[in-house]
Amino acid sequence: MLRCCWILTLSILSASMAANAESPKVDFAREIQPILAQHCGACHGADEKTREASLRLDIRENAIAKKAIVPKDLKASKLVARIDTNDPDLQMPPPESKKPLTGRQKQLLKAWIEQGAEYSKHWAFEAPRRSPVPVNLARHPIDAFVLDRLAKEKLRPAAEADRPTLLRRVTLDLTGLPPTPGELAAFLADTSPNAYEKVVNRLLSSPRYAERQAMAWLDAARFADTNGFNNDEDRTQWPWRDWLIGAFARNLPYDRFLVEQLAGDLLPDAKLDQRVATAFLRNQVHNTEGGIIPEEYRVEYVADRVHTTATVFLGLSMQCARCHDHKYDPITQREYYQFFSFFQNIADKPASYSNFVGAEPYIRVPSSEQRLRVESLDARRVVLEKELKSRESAIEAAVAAWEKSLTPVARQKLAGAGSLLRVSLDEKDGANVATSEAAIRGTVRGKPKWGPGKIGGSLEFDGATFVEVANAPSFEGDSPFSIGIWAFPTANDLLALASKMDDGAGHRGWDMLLENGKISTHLVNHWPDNGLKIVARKPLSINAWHHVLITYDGSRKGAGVKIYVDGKLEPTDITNDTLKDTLRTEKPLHIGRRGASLPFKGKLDDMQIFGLELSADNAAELAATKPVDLVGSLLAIPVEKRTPTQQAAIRRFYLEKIDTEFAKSKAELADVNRQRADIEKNFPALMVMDELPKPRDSFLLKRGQYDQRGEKVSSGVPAIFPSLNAGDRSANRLDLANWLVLPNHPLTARVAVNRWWEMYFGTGLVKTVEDFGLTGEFPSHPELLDWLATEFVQSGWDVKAFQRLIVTSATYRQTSHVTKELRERDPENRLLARGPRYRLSAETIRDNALAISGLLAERMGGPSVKPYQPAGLWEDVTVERRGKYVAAKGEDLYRRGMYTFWKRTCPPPGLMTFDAPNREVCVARRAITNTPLQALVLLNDPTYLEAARKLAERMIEEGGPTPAGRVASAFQRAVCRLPTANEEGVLLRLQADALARFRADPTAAKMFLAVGDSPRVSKVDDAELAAWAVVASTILNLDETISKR
Amino acid sequence: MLDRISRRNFLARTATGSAALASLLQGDGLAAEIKPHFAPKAKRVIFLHQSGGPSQFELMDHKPSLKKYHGSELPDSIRQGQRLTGMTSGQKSFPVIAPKFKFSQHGKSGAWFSELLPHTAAISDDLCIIRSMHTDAINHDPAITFLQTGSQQPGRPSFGSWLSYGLGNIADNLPSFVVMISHGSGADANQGLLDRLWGSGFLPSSHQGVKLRSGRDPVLYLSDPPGLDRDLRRRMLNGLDELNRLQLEKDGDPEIETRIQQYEMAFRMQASVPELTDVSREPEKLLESYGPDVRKPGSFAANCLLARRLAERGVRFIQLYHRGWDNHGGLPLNIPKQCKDIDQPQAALIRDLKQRGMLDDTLVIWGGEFGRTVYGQGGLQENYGRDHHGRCFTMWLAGGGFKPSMVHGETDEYGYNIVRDPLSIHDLHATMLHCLGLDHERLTFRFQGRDYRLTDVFGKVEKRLLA
Repeated sequence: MLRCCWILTLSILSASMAANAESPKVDFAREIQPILAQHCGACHGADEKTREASLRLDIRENAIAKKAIVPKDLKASKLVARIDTNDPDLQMPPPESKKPLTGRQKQLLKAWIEQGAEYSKHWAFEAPRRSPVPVNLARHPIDAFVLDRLAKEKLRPAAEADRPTLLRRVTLDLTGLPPTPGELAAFLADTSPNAYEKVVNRLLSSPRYAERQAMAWLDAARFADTNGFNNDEDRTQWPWRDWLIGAFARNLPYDRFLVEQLAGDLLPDAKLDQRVATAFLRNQVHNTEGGIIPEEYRVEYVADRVHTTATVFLGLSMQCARCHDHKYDPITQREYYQFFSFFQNIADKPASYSNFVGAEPYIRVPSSEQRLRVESLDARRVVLEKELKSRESAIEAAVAAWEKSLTPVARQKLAGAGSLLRVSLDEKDGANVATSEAAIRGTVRGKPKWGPGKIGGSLEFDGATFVEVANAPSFEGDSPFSIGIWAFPTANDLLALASKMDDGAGHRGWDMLLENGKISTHLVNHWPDNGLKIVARKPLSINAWHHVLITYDGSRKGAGVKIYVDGKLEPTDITNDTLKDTLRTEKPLHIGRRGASLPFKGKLDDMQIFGLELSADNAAELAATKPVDLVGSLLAIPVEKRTPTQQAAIRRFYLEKIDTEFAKSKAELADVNRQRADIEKNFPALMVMDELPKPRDSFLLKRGQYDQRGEKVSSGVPAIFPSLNAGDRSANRLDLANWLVLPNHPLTARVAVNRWWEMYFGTGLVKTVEDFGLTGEFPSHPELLDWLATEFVQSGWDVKAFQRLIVTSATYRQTSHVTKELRERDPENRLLARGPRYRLSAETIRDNALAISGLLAERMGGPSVKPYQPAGLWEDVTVERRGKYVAAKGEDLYRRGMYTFWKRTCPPPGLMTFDAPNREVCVARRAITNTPLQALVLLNDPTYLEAARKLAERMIEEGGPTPAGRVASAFQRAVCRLPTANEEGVLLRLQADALARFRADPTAAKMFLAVGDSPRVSKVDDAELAAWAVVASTILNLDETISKR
Repeated sequence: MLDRISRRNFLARTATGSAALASLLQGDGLAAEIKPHFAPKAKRVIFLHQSGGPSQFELMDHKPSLKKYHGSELPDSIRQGQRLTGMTSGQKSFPVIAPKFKFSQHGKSGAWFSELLPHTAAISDDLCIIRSMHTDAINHDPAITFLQTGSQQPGRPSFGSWLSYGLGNIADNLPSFVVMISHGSGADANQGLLDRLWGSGFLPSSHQGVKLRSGRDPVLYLSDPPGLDRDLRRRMLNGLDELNRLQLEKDGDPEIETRIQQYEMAFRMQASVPELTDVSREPEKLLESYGPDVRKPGSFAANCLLARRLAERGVRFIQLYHRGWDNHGGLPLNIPKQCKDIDQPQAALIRDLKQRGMLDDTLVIWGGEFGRTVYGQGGLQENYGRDHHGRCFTMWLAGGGFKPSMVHGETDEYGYNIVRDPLSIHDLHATMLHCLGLDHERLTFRFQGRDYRLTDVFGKVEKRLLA
């Protein structure tokens, strides 16, 4: 037997009814203001430009001064005559406005004037007033307010729902998933008085709770995985979704939740996490269509931020004041642009269609896996660096000992050390090319034509010939190296001496070019945003041999690159200087070519690559065809006569070439750095807010047009609200965010608690959750709304505590059964004399089916996933029919709906059918429709057919050998109760029919069971399993299964 | 009468008779057919959208003087320095290009057609040709969004969903708003289509367009899975029906009754849609009249025939998109192929409707989101291209209360500016709604406190276009 949570009796009801004698007093806020706003506001409201007869009806003094209204005197009030007349020239509102008043509205206006025509400020623009909780026998404050209202309506609340129904309701509401049989059994077995509260606490601490709350915020934040518009490229805003889930999981107070999303980047010492939060303001659509006017779209993006912020945090239709003063709410166009100016101080750069990564500003944010990898690599790096350092510090003695041990022969050998690869091009015939390293060989592509060269032979290049050398050394961005070659150019075109470059990967690698006779080189990670280029100022002569040497010090700076021609340092220009990362590429070394378009014409000879930065002396040696002496000559200098630089060079040589342990550690360090760079390269780009150092000038835009600038405005908030004080500087986004969470802000807390109310009851206390303005709906329970708002603020904006407050109320716990009388009296359940009953949301319907069948993959967060989708939908609409939808494999097919990849021009069809929006603009409230297309999805979408197949396996496994046991098991999983005898009978008959059918046609059974990727586990024969799958599909299609009740 | 009645309220008051049943497809419980504001001429719309923006110069806006000006610079006095797209704004020269195709006059109105549209020319007397359309947008996304939703920016309901909302659904077991897409034979479509073009914006999503596709599932998820025959499906739905009724008795929520009916409707759709798409019973001669492509599912021709079949079955808004008109280059090679795709089928559609007496109450509209420039993109070339041009372009309408044998509006001798009777997108929408019996100022939906309209705060019914 369930406790009665209300504790009330009929006698109390009648007592309060008596107190509520009929009162004809007209309520301005609820009854008059909406009429004035809707029917008169356009010509007699706030908008000065459209005002007629300079009459304002939204200001009492003005209306009285103009004699439109004379309080308590209908005859003298011109308004009354004008609304009553049938003369079309006089009638108000004018017939052409097509906004006629109803008889009831006219009556109300007259009654109000008779009663004195009192105005009051719109309720939602005044701070919430905390009324005392009504005194009645309800134990929970929410119930006290609800009961108070019910009593006035002469209605009684319903009894508490039965325990299984209640458990299913609260579990679906708090986690978006159904309870398991184990959870049901535990709840039924728990006889303690706070059994329900224990369940609520368990659910609130579940990670599923955080996902469920986050899911509801995705529409409001117009989150999607593509840019929208014509080109609709993929984007990677999902790290923000991970942040969102985390915020609910750690119960981030709502004021912080708001501040971090609106202005996390402006917080003192903003952490990465807080910058990630601001992606909320960058989730808007982005257009990369060729030929758009960037300023036009920049203005649109800012307008979207205003629209979203105002709608989801303030419940205001501020966008209505973009082109003119707001027709109903006290927001002028000027105030709109003051608000607008908060949101426009970021780069908001246009982005190109090809290779879209993100529109600046964006940051790279690691996924949780990437973060772990990087952390472990960093830990290893610290160890290695320490090791290398300690070896280095104990080096002097080791070097001295080594020097002492060197024989003259060994010294001789050291002379040439430091060369990594030498390709002397001294072959006489054939296409094979030898190098200094036995393991590295090259091949001549095209016609090999050998001849005399600068040193020994050389190879001739006719514009189609080149040498390809696989496995040649590759370089990090921070490793020094040098490359030299002898060249005899015979043309003045754009020529390539050599390159090792991956054209397809943003030209990663290096090259050595001759551009109209001038030597140039690119060192590139990704051109042009991550690479450098330097060009010699003087051209070299053609038809002559020149030695060309490029040296690099590993600084990632253009200034660290030198060009020597014939041993002399050339003056150069740095034309690009953005290198940040590695140059490493697996592409082969090409001599006499870069890519398909840059060949060489002439002769090339003796290419050498060194693993260090050569000196000017070395350059002269090479130009004189002498071997380069890297340490040999230094060692010949007696120790006491060496300069510190010379001694350092010997030390470095010893460490890198002689001390093998050091070299090993150094190589590992390089490897660690490379791995880290590779991971970082794949960090998703997240578009975020990043305030410009100097705010943009802000202007009123006439008619909202980007190119029609009017007066200059400064940042600010509409005058109707409490003022925003930023001292003597102009207010920024952070000031705005802090202003929004002022404890006495009239809207922020009300809008937030109302949205949650809607989440639990299907309708907000203010039905128009997106509009608290003059044309929004008056709250069904104004005192309750204000009590909840103030309670929420007083709790320290504690989000979890607020959910607990609602779901522990008796109002929430009522049964949803409804009688015909009550349904007719209160079809939308605004009075709350019963519990909520309505269809689940799109994502929850799918999650629910996956959970019931055991398919649900519980992995949280990360990139969006692609479950089953009918073929060809993307190709139908994408540019050049390029988009191809490739469904995932394995667990990504069964992740929660909130992780489904959201393509704005072609959103997931199964979810759209159940009223999901396309996420182009913020949506604060989804409709709940009931259509045959929904039936088709649940009957035939492979997602639900596969779930039925797995549920069939599960019911056989868990339900035991009897058909009735199996039906009971699946039924209970789906709707948290056992079937009645009638229901059981229906399903058993269906099973028998299906079984007979599948026994007669085993192929049909096989085909029916072939849907979906998940393997079949059950050993039951095809016909039987298929018959159970039909039963399971029926259960998944029940109205009860897809409804909260 | 267009006030939103509460769904529950409505269902509480109505029996589940056949009229209400038809409306259940809409799911919002409004009556099946909502009375329009005044007597309508048209009951439905077939919109032959040519996606990408067909060039008016090669089709129907004949400019004989271009021969004379071919290759010469477009005078500043004509261009008046107005904005260019980013694709030609870097261009230094704007040479006028004369179309390569011959023109001749047809019908009582003497309308000009190029040789690329012989079949369309032959139905000239049924067409109301508007040569003075103009749009504010110069890029695809905003332009096509403007034409289909009355706003350049995302978020508004599409024309079809407004109509579904405004007039309700009278179709036989079919949705009220159906969308079909075909791919042009010219260069592959280098601009995208967007879900929002048939989306319902802030209207209930039951008003959004339903895509009708070629292949096994003309409507997504229509077919039963392999192995489940119709008999077993029926038995399963019978079981489901019984179980849902037991629940209805217990919970008393009328939504359950609605859901029960929706499953029945879905079951009937599983028959009515294949019946719709099965054209095998159409007379051979009629099939031939639509041209050889009519036998290729998913082609514009096949979609035109389906459009007629949908119209017969009471579908309110039948939207075709034919892609591939965005000829920035290679126009003389591509546009004949595109015209070949559409010319014969669209003419056959008009004749077919007329022959059945349906053209009177079916409003057919043809056109793209904008026109193209008189000057060549990339300069003077043999295989020239034309850039987007919103200042003037040509559309035509037929039937549904529009005046036949009519040519409205005129452009200057360069085909660059309108010199007579400009018609804006909002005016077009207002006039079309008028033919459908709807006052564009009264067809409103309140969202965030504002009464939104398809025509925003603009639009004027152009009475001269009306029959």
